[in-house]
Amino acid sequence: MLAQQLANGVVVGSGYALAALGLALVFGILQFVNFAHGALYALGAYVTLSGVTSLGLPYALAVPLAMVAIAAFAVACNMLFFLRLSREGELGTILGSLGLMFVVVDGIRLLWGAQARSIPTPLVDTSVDVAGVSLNGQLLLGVGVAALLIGLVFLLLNHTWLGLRIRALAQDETAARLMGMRITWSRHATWAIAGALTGAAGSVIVPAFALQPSAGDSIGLTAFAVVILGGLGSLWGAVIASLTLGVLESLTEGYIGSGLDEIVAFTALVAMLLVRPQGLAGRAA
Amino acid sequence: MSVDRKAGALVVLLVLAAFAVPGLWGDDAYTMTVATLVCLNVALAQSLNLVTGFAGAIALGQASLYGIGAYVAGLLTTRAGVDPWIGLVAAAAAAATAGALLGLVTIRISGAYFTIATIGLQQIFQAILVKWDSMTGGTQGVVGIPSPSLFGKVLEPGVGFYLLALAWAAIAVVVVLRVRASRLGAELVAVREDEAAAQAAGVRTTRLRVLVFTMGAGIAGLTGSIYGAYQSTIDPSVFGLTLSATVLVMVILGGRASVVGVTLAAIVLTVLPEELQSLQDYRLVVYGLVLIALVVFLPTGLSGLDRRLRQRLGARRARGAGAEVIA
Repeated sequence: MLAQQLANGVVVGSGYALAALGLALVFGILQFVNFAHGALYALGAYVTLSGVTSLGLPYALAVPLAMVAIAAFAVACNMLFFLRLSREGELGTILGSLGLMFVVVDGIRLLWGAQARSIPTPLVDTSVDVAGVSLNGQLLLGVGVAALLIGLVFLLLNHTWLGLRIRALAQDETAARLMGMRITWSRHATWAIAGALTGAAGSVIVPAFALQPSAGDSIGLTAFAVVILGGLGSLWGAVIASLTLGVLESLTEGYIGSGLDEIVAFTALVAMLLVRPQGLAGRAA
Repeated sequence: MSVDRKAGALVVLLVLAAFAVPGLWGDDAYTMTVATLVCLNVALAQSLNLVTGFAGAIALGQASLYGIGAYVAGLLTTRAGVDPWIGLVAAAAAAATAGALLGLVTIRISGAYFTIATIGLQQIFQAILVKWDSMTGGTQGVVGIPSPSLFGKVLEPGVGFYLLALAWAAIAVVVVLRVRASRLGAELVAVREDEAAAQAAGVRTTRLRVLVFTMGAGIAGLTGSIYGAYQSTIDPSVFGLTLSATVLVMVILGGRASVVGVTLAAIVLTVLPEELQSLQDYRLVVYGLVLIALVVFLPTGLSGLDRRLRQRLGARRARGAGAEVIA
């Protein structure tokens, strides 16, 4: 019983980490408070649905399709208006991304309809049993993809030329500009990576649940919770916060009652903001 | 001072015009519904104007304070048989207490973190409303909330309820106008612009913040209790992010701390969606695009537009005057 709940918690937590990766980049590096994050996640799931059902692609190809589509969408938004929003400071990104959230969520409803759909994948109806613990195949795929992408993002940020640029942007935009760095391209690149990660998250996690236009609303806010809990700008902090939250929610569900996950997540968030505003792994400002 | 007097005169004119609404547009049920909602939204927007416009804290949880008011009054009147008027006062008191706590607890949280904390608290509030079934009625909510009665007559939705909402909206506007004209308003603006400098000048910032949060929440709570009595049914779905975002947009579109601008924005943003029924299907898409365009093209809101126009006119006039001198 306890083993099962801990395993469930790790699986759910990996999902949070995967869903939060894209937000951790744009919030942590570009200081862009993106309330449309959950909407992009849902959009990724819908692109996957169309890839599988309308285009007849195998699921393994529909996932990269969603990654490319959301990356392109994020870069297009960045070219069109994200920079203008950033210029108005936090208020600008808060209001502008809220606007984008309304556009995307309602756009999904207009394009695909409001009824609940399901994405057929080869793993949805499978399950794996190990030592008395039973886990859904699709959710396990989520754990694998989460581990893979977190590793890739870590390598990208710390061991590549592009990563160096992105980290420079996070540290001091003006200094980076003065060193002759082309800020605009680094911003586009950051959005492209964040979009691809968010698209991947939506297309891998959502099939395990019902797909609705509002599929990303709650997880978008949970992503904020884990990014802040982990400490802004700290990838590992966000991962640890995700796993902790997943296990905490799973134990709450097992021993106290169901439907309390939002209360657990946001109580942890508000408590953290009060006690340690810089998060688990963040440095004091 | 003269600006305040002008704003006051405009408010009096608006209220007089509002009194004529039933006569001019007709007192049919539809017109009265829209007019009542306009008044409630004006009061709610002013409550957030205190917190966001004056204290500079971008809150995205005003709907939960509105909801606390609606639920406290709704539960007291339906479960405990309390008189609706006392329910309204209790609602305001409960929400004001919540607002004071919010102001105190979030004192160290600034910027986007504060915004996210208010969203978090709102999610918790909504989750509690759904989960605490035995008390709140769960997703079904509270039904059969009684209306207050005036001169021995129960107020019915229609002209009577509209006038109650109008009176309350007028009170809320006047309270916020008075705050702006007072020493309190000057201190608030000083803190918003430079907290350290204001502290050095002797402004007691904590007390100020708690005071303004309490007032804002109290107004929001009382407005919520009127909403509950008007609808007679409330459920958790109303008191979420969409309403909070709409109210925040009213304050930003109106121009932060501009009482008249926020009032006009609340009127426009309530009437416009009702008039665009043919666009109903695209409503949120249009709303989202307008929101983005607003930040990109008009970051200081309507009152900023007014100021910008005046500056431009002033520049032209100055140029004209200069030309005359040269001539």
